[in-house]
Amino acid sequence: MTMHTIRLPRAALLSLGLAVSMATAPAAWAQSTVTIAQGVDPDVLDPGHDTLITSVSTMLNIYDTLVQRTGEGDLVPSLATEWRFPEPTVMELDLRQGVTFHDGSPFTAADVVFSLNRYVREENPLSIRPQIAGIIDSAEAIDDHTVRINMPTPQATIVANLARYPILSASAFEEMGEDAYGQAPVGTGPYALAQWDRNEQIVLESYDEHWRGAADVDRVVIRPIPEDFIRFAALQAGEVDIIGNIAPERVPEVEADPDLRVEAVRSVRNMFVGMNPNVPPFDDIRVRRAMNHAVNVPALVEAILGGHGYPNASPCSGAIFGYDPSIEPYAYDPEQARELLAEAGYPDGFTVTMWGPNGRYLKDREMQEAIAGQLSAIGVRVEHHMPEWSEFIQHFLSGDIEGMYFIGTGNPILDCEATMGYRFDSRRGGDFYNRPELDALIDQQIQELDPERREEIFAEIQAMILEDAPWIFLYDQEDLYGVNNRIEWSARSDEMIWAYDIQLAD
Amino acid sequence: MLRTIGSRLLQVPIALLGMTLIVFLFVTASGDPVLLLADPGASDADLEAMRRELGFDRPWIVQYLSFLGDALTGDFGTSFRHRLPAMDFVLGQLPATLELAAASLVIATAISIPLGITAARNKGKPIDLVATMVAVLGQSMPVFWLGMLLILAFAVALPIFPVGGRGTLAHLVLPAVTLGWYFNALITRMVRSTMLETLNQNYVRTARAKGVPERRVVMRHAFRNAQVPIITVWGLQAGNLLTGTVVAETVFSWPGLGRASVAAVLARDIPVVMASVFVFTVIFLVINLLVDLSYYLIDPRIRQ
Repeated sequence: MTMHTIRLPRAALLSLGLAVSMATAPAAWAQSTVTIAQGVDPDVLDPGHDTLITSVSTMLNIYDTLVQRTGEGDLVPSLATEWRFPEPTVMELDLRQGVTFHDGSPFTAADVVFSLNRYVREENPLSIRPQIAGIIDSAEAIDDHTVRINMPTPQATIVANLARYPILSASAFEEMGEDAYGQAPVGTGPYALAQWDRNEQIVLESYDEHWRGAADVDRVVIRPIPEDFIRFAALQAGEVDIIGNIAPERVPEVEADPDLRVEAVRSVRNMFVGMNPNVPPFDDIRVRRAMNHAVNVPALVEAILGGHGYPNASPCSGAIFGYDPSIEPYAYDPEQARELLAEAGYPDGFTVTMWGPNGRYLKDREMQEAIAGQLSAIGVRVEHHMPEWSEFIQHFLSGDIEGMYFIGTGNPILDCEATMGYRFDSRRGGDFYNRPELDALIDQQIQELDPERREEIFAEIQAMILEDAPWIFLYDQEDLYGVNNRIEWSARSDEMIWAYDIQLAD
Repeated sequence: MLRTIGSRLLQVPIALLGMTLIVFLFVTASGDPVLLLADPGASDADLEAMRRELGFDRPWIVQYLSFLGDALTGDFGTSFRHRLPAMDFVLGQLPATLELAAASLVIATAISIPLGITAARNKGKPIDLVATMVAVLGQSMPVFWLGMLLILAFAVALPIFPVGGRGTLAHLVLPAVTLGWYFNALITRMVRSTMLETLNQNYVRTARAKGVPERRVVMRHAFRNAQVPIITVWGLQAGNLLTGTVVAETVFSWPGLGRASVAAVLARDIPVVMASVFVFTVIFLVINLLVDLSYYLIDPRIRQ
């Protein structure tokens, strides 16, 4: 598509376009507004109930957390100013003083205690509970500005986790009731909710009393635009300033537009093909290794993602703590793959099913088909099952996968520990994997408070997993954003869009 | 007339019962809402507790009867996704859909009826060719594709209208044209063929023979008699249009019940699904009733 070749009539008609938009949008010109497009509207602005990544991104503008993660990935004080560990399983935090909620009420220890204990409660569990259960047992107030967090065991990732638990206003919550609070949230964040037209727009206004000072941008509009094509058109037309998940083949189009640019970052999301090691043919390690030798990951990334991906033989993304950069992938060698299959008793290959979502991840369908194409060279015939996401994930979570599955692992705390919990720890449901010696290493790293020692344990874990080859190791996604040059903003690897960090270019 | 209204009203509870039962069965049989609601790392105990809390641990028939009992009192339950009363949520999404559908119907009707009549009167001439092309294009072009074309042309290349969203009259134009496109084609074709038929009737020839002005012949004698079949199709299709807004809503990021109800089905948000089905069914029945009533206004034979 060559949109830029028809720039002239566009300029000529700009006055008409302006006339329409001025007549239609009597927004105050003095106010600075930035518009962000996302794929879906949040269900509810209650972090306990809605844990979808785009919803979390919206809510982290409204709520603060005890600790916050900077764009560079560092963990820095937020609502907590300092913390210490009087015992390995007890954390004490000093809270920032003089902070107020959007309704003007003061922020105190009661709000932290209320929020954390609500997220972790066992009866009537919230959607967020799996992200906090097993990490925090309970929270209690020592005084108005000091909080104690009790943990079941020492937790190396506790600080990183605290960056993901938004703090609610206990008094507003009680007064309004759970359901009303989720429609009109009260936080301490740099932006307050001004208006929410469901499936149309969320309007946030800068909260000038915020403890970090007022944000540069007065007003942020977050619009749900479900179609990729339309999000892109809205960016081109200048209606929105930031869109996520642009397709690699459209990158040149953005780069050719003088008003736009691409912001790219290595994502925390790691993509892979899992093999159920409990049933033939994948119960044989030689078969699993053969599969790895048969797939040419750099070629896939180049051909299908236009190079916008990072081949990775570790289950941990290169963007997170614990990743071992020295890890060596299986060499692409179909000949060796065929030999391994023959040794395992499959000289003519076999037929296997591959489950995977259609439309969830960047180029997921094309990727699955290309992987199947490469596997066919060693006689492995793949039968695809590619339903839409909700059907796929139900099938996947029911554990009813006999062959292979294509899926990605996100990482809310940017720490290899979360990947272990989702995929490998047999006691936390880790897919189809059950290796006591790996579980032991996982326990060891989570209780190890020295970061360097933890990295060593993770290196050991990654080597063990690579050797055992439970997956066809693929790549980390590169997140691609289209951004209007009128704003300054750079992409974060955790998929969050912090409006506070956006500035208007002069 | 009263009898017709009475029998139509009697159909309402039967249709509602049938529709809700079928949809309930499909949605509950096709997936587990809790697996979609919980974070991927949820333990089995947590999933069980959530199921219990939301009532999904009960047999489907118990769930359906309890839904029905509550629905009779006007309570459609709480959306467990949006944490809102399901009917409030659905009614909150409805105005945008009605607005879009009404605009589409107005535009399409204003184009199709004059175009169809003119085409029939000028059979084989250029204007007839135009009408036929409108009909063919309209019925063969997928809605989402048309929507994308319009956006590329009139929002990106020539930025006259916004790409998407709702709020002003300018926002309404492209989605309304897109949604009404098929409807317009169908009615144009329908008006043209019905008019061709009536224009060939003996009473039309008689009217012309006795010197009635052509305009009066067409409108009073021919079109009047063509109205009953046109209105039947118009009404049926208006119902389809109103309940089929999802594609246009998605392409133009227009908020509305079409999009919201499809999202609810994908998330298995059963209270919202059921409330949407209820509202859509009522709308459909009301339109049918209005079509029936309009026959009385048009056709004196039915009145007697």
